[in-house]
Amino acid sequence: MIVRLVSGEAGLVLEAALPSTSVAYVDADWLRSAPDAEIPALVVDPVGVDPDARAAQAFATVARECVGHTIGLSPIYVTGTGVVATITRTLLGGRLAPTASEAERPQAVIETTGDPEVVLEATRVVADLGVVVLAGESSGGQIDLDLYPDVHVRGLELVGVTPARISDGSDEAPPVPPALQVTVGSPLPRAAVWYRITPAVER
Amino acid sequence: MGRRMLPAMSSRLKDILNAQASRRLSQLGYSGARAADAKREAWWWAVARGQGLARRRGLVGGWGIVWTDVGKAELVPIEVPRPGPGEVTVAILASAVSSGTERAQYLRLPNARVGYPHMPGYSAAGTVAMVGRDVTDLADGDRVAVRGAPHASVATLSRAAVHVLPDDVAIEHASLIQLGVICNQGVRRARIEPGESVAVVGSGPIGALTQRLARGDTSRLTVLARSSEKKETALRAGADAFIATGEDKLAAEDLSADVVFDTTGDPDALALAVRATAVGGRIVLLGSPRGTTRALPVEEIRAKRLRLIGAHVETVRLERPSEPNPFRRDGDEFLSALADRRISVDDLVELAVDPREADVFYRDLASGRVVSGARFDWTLLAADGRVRRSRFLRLPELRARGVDADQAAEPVARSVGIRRSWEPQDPFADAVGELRIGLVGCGDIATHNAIGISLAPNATLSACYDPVAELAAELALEHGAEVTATVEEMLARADVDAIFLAVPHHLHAPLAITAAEAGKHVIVEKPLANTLAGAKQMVEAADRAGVVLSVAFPHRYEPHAVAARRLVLAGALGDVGGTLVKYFADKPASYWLGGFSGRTVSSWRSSREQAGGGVLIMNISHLLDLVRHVTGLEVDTCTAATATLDGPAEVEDTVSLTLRYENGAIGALFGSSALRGNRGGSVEVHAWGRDGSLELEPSPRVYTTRAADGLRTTRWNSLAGFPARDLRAVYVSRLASAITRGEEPDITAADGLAVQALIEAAYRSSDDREPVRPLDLLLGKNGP
Repeated sequence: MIVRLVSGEAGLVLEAALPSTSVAYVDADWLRSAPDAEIPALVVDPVGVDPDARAAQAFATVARECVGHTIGLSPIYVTGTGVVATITRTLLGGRLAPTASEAERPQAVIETTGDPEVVLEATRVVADLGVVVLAGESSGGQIDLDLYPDVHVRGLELVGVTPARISDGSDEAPPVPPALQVTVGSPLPRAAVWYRITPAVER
Repeated sequence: MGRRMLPAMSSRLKDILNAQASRRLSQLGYSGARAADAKREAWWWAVARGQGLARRRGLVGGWGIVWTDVGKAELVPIEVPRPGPGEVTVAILASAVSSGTERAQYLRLPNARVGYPHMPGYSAAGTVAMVGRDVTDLADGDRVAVRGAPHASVATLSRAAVHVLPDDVAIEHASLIQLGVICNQGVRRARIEPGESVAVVGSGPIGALTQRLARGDTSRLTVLARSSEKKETALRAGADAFIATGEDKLAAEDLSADVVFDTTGDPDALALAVRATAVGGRIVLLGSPRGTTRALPVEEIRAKRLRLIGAHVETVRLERPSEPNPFRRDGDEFLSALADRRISVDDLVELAVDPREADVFYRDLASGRVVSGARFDWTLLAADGRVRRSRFLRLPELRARGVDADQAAEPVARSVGIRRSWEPQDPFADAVGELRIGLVGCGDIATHNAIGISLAPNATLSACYDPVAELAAELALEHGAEVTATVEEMLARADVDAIFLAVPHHLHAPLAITAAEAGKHVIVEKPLANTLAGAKQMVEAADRAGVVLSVAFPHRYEPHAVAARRLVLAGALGDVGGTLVKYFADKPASYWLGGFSGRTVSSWRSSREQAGGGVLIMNISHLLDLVRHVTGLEVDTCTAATATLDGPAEVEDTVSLTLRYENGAIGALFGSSALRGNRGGSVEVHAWGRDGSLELEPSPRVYTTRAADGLRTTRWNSLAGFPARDLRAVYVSRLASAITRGEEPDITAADGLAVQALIEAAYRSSDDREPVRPLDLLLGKNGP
């Protein structure tokens, strides 16, 4: 499902055609996009399940796949502050690099934002022969990348990670901060790690 | 602050030195591009000596290909140091062209900019010429492949860049060593598992070699290329399938290959590679992308969980940072594959390019006329110049090294006595027979013809006739001939084999016909006649009588014209595409009554009916024949304008011709005999083609990009300085030999007719103000 951020009088407002029986989830990093960007949301039919737990599982699956692509590499830098980034950092433990720059190159960068600028920065700061894991939703515009100077000459590997989806799996999600509730049509509240989107209240 | 100022000061210092050098060179007569060349030469001179000093070794000379400027490739003399410790000097026999990279650099594409001068080349093979002190595992004469060698006949490299060849590997195949390393590391980094399917996008050299090295245990190998041009090659080399993406845009979607190699270097080809890859597959980026990939297909890369692997050859160094020679294994694996016949690379080096033709080769590469599969074949150069002694203690030799690109250099070969195949030889060496000639008309030009006949070793001036008996008597006395009272008397003489007509133009036809009917060969001072109709009658009469009819166009025998014609025939210009002729003269008023010499008084030159025309038929006809002879071009259409600025009103003194030749070439001619300030005359004759330029006058020289015996390519080579000779003597002598042998003379009646038809076409075009085809006039299609 697609949600959209539009500019309203009270700030950015979420718009979505969400069935009245469903709730949707988005990673806060995905909302970095400009107004009117289309943002993919994770929809959960809440009947008989804990929707927050199902969504957390889906995001955790993405995080696990990200970490799986970095076996044997250290340190690893993670971009973003959303739910996937948070879970990934937890999973990496001691391999996590607190910072990344051309002076302190990590062997891998797990990129969870999909922001073109951040993706480009990730390819620049990662070490030679390093891995950049692409796990962000590229909802905010296209990525134009000169593959020669970084990917080709420096022998980088760019690895794609499948987007989050609700599955029947029962993997336990690592502990995550609670999702922040937001109603369709309401202004976006203060920053959070992830959001639970519910249908507009009938008036 | 001091540190920040240093670069600024250094840059300023450079500017000052540069300005000083420019000023000094300007004083020496160098300017513009020549000054830049001279500076480059001086710089290289200094660099080579610096390299020699650093090693405490001398220098070795050879040839190298240098891009001296945008779009200009030249073969120039180079110097490299003798090998220092850990180094090897290799006599290069073949250097492989990296068509993608070198084309991109030549065209200044993104990610491929180079500074000038630049020495292209990256991979070669040859034999060891010298080794440094501590190199004990190589000996002179060993066959080796070398990575990183420029396109040059000699190179000094680190021992680590040198791979010893297995016995069975051919030099030209081994010259692909660097390509082998590039592709081998790419295939290695793909980590192909037995049974996986592979696709290779691109069918250039990298694609072709990758396909062969990756074949191994793959379950299925598919090659994707824009066109099906390389389909047969790919299938022959072991591909299971070939997809021409330009023809079948959807086929890639169904491919689902486990491993895809993008070898194209096209930043937009990634989307195709992504489509062709199976879920969880790998894409190896092997071709260097020339520009930014717009809209990286991230969603597809994520949805399919793809891995995009950068595999530039430099990543080998990153992979093996502690190894002194990280490339050795990939190189040796490639050479083993060649030795074991696991792969064949014939097609990747099949085009042997003469290094002298580097300029035309790179232009062909840029335009797509040559796509791939080329090597420079250094064995095509003379062996003694490829690796030669070079004096350490010498000054930069600007001229001798061919720095003066705009000025013709004295050909090197001539100064050391080497005869080149196109050089004119002694024109009298094979003279035979004894042609006895009667001269009819003893005026202006006849004095020159009489000298020519006397100087020809196989011709004699037997008799002279002129209506003004004193003129005939004078020439006869001077040249030991007899005088006849009438033309009939001359034609009756048994000691006259041929008549040489040097009479007013309108008398050519009647006298020639009479002479032919009397069984005499006929030589005519140019033009053949005053009209085309008269000229045709002359030819018919000569044919009927079975005698030779020839017209005197002696300019053909200028030594530089002889050389130029041979060079044009040998392809020095390529297909001739254009000609330009300029004839400027300032005829004195007295010319119209007595010619240039004033020997006789006659007004025929100012009569259109008698002379046939003015400056075009009278003077420029020589140049019309010369251009036709040297270039071999035949005029298809002539558009002309004539004017009389100053001379007698009947004949033109100024003429302009625009020519379309039968081969599509075009030509222009402008001539005037009424241009003040040109009393000495001023003539320019140029011809050119895709591969070179020729200047016949005023400074005979040729510039070619094609290899020609003893010529420097991409330089003006002088065609002047050959021993002078009497042109009319050569003409008469060669004609006499041809008649004696029963062969066709150099200058036939048909040659005379061709020039006559062009002249007539020009006059008619000017009169009718429309283009005229000389051939139509010759065939009588265009009126009388």
